[in-house]
Amino acid sequence: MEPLLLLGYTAIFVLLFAYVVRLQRRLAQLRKQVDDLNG
Amino acid sequence: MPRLSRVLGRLTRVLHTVMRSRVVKWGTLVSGVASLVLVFGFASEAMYGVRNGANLIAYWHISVAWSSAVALSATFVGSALYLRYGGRFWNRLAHSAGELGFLFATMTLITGSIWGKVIWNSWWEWSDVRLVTFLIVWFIYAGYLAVYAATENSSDEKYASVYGVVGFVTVPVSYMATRLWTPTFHTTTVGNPEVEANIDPLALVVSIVAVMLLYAYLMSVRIELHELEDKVLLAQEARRRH
Repeated sequence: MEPLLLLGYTAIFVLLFAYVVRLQRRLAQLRKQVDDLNG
Repeated sequence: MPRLSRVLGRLTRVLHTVMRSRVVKWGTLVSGVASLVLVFGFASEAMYGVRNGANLIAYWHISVAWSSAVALSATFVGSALYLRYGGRFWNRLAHSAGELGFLFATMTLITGSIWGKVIWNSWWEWSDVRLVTFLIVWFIYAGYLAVYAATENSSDEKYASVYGVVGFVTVPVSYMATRLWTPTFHTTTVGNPEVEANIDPLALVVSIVAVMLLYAYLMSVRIELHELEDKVLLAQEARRRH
C-alpha cells in the first residue's frame, strides 16, 4: 500500500476512533452521575 | 404559528427516531465495509491523468468534505431555529453538528493535503481559492466551538447561535469558490465536461452514504450526551432545593 494512502486512511480512522472513545467515556460518566443523583 | 410548532415538534421526534435507529448503526457498518471493498478492490488508481495508489484517498476525502458541509448546514439550521423558536433540541443539534462538522473539516484538510501532494505535488497552495476558503471555514467553526464552550446559561447560548448563523456564510462560498473565482489547482468537477477525474461513481456514492450514516450515528450519540448533561444539571438543582 502507498505510504500516503496509509497515512490518509490512518488519520481518518485515528481521529474517528479518538472521538468515539471520548464520547463513550463521557456518556458512561454522565450515566453514572445521573444514576447516583437519582438513586 | 401553532401549526408550525407542531410540524417542528414532529420533525424533532422524527430526527430523534431516525438517528437512534438500528438501521443507522448497521447501515454505517455495512456501507463502510462496502465502501472500503469497492475503493481498494475495484476503483482505478489513475485520476486526473496521474496513476498513483494514493489517489484512492479521494473517495473518503470527497465524502468527509460533503459530510462536513451537511453538518455545518445543520449547525446553521439548528442555530436559526433556536433563535426563532427557542427549544433546547435545536441548540443541541446546532452544537453537535458544529462539533462533527469541525471534525470532518479537519479530516477533509488532512486527506486533501495528501491528495494534493499526489496530484499537484504540493501539500498546500495559498493561491488556490478552494483551499484557502476551506481553511477559513475551519477557523470559523473552531471559533464557533470556542464561543459555545464559553457560554454558561441559556441567554448566553444565543451568542453561539448568532455565530452559527453568520459564520455559515463561509460554507457556500468555499464550496462555490471554484465557480466564483478562477481556480488555480482545484477545478470544478461536477457538471464540467472538460475535466476527466476518472472517479468511480459507485464507490464514491457508497462512500458518501457510509460517511453520512456515520455522521447521523455520531450526531445521535452527541445529542444524547447533551441530554444527559441537562439531566445531571436538573437533578443537581433538585437536590439543592431539598
